[in-house]
Amino acid sequence: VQPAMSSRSAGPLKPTETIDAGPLAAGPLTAGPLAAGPLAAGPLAAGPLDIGWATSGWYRGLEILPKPRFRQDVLVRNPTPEDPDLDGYARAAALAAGLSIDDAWWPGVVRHLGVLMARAASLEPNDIRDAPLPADSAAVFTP
Amino acid sequence: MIEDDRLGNGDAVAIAGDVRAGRVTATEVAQSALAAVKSGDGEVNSFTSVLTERALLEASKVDALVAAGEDPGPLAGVPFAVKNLFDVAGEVTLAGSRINGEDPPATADAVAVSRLTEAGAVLVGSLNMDEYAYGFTTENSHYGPCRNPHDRDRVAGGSSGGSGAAVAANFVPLTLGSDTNGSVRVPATLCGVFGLKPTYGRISRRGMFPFCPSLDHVGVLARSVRDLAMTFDVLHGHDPGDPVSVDRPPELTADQVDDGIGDLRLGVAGGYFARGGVPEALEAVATMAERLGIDRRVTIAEAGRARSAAMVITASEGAQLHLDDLRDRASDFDPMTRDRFLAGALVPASAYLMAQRFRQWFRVEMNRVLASVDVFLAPATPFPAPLIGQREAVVEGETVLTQPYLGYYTQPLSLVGLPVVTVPVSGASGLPLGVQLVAAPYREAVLLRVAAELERRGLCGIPEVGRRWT
Repeated sequence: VQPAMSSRSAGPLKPTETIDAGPLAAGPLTAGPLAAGPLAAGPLAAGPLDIGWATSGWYRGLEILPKPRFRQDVLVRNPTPEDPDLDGYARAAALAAGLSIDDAWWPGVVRHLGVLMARAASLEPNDIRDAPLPADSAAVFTP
Repeated sequence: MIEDDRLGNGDAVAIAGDVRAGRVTATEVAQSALAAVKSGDGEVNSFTSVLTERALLEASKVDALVAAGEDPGPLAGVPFAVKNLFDVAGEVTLAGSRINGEDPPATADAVAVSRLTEAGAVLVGSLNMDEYAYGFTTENSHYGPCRNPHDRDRVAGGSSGGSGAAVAANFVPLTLGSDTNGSVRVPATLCGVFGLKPTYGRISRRGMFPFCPSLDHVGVLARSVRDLAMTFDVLHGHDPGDPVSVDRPPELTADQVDDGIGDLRLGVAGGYFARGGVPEALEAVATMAERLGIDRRVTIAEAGRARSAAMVITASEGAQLHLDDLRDRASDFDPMTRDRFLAGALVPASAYLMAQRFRQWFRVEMNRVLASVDVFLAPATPFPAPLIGQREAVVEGETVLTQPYLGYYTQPLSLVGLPVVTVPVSGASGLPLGVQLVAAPYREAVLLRVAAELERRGLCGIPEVGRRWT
């Protein structure tokens, strides 16, 4: 997983780095409207995501997407809301996006996300194409 | 419902001909359409607003032009309606949502609406749809489900469900829809009408509420091929106000639809497109190919992955568009769309960009396939209209989710913006089905020639509502 570029550092954040200044220093979990939200009270409150948030802001949260394992898991079965990796990733991503997702909606959201991630992962294998995908990822498409 | 003999078979070209010749007035036609909606739409629920005053005013202007001996336009007096994501001056653009219902009314018509009215067509209302166009069934929790005129216990398809149902019920002969993943082609198929999704960028989307900007198209639903052609001719053309509008000179089609298909290379899509549907959906294509004497089969590599890429792009762009509302008032979304938008908001950028890269590869692949044939045939939907509320269906022994699976055959094609015409055919169940005709970018004229030939030979056509085909 490529870490996000920080506007306050010269290069990508390393897994061990922390955001120690600026608005994210305390992180939305401890200071923002989600401080008392589902992450603080839910099943992951004592889990690894909680530790990530408490110590290093949002990079550690994203770190819980172990790409090889995630892809293998997703490709052989549909992820479930109980999947700790997908669920944890989704909670971290939701916080990063500023989304507060009702507990009642969570299973449906994670199920849809699992499908999307599986679909996305399926695009990378190269069993028919004779060359890598083009680099062009322009969103403005010309037929 | 337009039952007056003076209105011919009810298609737009016939109506316009009668209005232009003075055999009927545009006002009479508009009154007939408005009466049909009033008496019949209570059971169908295809309209979300009826614009009586505007329709009669526009019709009177057409009549005045005819009376003065001036040209009222090629669609003179043709009543039409639009999916409620198109701006209509003075009306709130709902886009199927409750949230947008709080917006102020639009101050101007969408470009597509303007072009039709400038051609003499008369707008009579706005139409039901899936919330924010994210669906294939128009089971809208805010405005109620749109019912299929052929069986009112069944869905009309989506997301332009009202657009399909209003034409099938003969409330109006012509409607506008939008197609991102199949949202014109699916309802056209399930309702048994003709549908056209032109090449991406052909028709301006200015004034149309977006869903997924890099995939959104304007499309047309109608009762005949010549109606599709005439309407396409009026609608297409460059608009600098739409960032993806293609800058090409007009390429008119209506005068070509009777040219026949003798010089065209036709094929049938194999592989992915030859499986994945119930037998009657696949047999509809095979029968049509046999009647046309088509023996060329084209194989489209990676169509399944193309559908995957379309899903990822759609979810990501759609979620981004609605991110503020997802943060602030997610409970106001239709539950059918809310969870998918929320999931889309969590998709990593790397996944989205991978899908766009795949799309570039698939574009080259499709253009390679379309260098060997002018038009190929493919199924339009994997099964006929499901029941309202039906969540699962069985295809080839496997249980699938009804709603998303309706896009199985349409999503790979719109991913790369290809022009597609869907023609209505009969299924063994007696419910309408459809066949997609697919061509290379900007070859709408060729598609419409093939569709017209099929129509002439009786291999496709509009089924009569209330009488199932056998």
